[in-house]
Amino acid sequence: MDPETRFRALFELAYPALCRYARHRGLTGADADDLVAQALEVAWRRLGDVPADDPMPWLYAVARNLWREQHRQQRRRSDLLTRLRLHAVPGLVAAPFEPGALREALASLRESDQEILRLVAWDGLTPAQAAVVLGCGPVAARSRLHRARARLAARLGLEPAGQPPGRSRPGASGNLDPMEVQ
Amino acid sequence: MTETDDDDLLAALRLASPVPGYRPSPRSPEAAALLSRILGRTGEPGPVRRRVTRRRLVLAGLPSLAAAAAAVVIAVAVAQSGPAPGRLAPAAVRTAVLDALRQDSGDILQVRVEYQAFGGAVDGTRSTWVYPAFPAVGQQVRFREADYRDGKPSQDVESVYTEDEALEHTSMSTTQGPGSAKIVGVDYPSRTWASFTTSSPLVDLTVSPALIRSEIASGNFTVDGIVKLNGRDAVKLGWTRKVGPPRYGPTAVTTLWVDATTYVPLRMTTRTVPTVLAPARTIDDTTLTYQLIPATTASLRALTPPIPAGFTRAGQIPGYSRAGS
Repeated sequence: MDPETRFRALFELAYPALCRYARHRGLTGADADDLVAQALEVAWRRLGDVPADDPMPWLYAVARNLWREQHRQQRRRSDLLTRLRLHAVPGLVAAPFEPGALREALASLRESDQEILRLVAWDGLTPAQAAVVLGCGPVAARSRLHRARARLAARLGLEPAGQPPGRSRPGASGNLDPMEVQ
Repeated sequence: MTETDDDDLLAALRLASPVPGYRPSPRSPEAAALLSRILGRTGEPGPVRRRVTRRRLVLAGLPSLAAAAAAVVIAVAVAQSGPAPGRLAPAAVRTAVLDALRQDSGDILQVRVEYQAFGGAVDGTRSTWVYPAFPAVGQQVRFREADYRDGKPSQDVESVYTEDEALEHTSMSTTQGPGSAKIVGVDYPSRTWASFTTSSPLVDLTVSPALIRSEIASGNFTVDGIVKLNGRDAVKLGWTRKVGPPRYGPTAVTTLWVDATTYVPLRMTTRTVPTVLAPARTIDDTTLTYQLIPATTASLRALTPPIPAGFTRAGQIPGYSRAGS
């Protein structure tokens, strides 16, 4: 397959995924567009390095480096926001599976916990794929996911941090009951 | 992700994505412009110049005519990083919308409908859910409709049928449409519920998402610019159709807003006006608000209406005939 054909196929797969990756990390407008464009430019420049069988973790790793570069420049402001969010967490206990409450609780975790949870829950990666993005081994990624999940549960008042995740809570319903919608 | 990792909390977090249903099309005009920009910068993969801003070009100076020409090319590429020219050309919008409908077909489409007669207050609302969101002819469809009268629940019905070619059109005769449907319905006024097969399913062309595809595919619409809709950039589209008898029948004026990034439908309004007798009068206004919901085990289960406690099981519910009866 010639390089351009291969890149076009990669673009078809990666463009929607990278757009979502950017939005999942709070980027919008030109910032999101820039991240997607830069990640795809890197993929084109280094097409020979992109794994043919499973390219997305490699691309997410590139996007993550670019995003961290952007993010670093805004760290002071974001640290302040994180502290503010931490004070807001106690109110979440009443409705732990409400999407807004979950997002707030996620945002109150430290960055490394947020990232593994976002990669698995929002970007749809397996722990082994997330390991490629984070530059660690699959066992370490699974362990990080386990700890981050426990800390999220603790933030929501579901379980103390460190307790193994359980299956006792009912799942989110997707808000399809018309009596709730109206 | 393995099953042991996928506990309820992670499943709930997945549904709490800040951009549910966001699937920008790799064939949208913006994506096509980006692809062409990347491929056009150099014919073969390999090291290329990093992106250069216009400010840096000025500071670097222009030592030769060749450098100046190259700089102009780069500066133009940078300047074109926004929406591509021709983005709002009807042909490009048509491709992007149809592509978006195909991409999101695996989701559940929720449509909230508000109906006003003769320009009065809202006198009817209903919520519908369709799965798959934009069914193709021959696909099995799960369609739930929860109807409200005077703010109170009236009927809540799930119909399972096969998408029929007739549903793709703006009108159809009473003999067309799906030949049968499996029904699970709750009738609130009579406090009854029923599960049965009907040979005369009720279909509602107003909310059929296939109509959007049909209208957009026809290409007979206008693109009326980018506007803000609930804080989101939306492309405003419009078309006008005669309904009823060709000469004297009323005219339906439709406006559709699609997301300016993903091109999925956000809202559609249809105003029906008499063509001949009193064109200034409004017969009715219908507003449809769309939302895509990820299809998960839990959300698919919720397509079947819950049976309220104390309701009695009946052979059928009002408005639907049982097959063979």
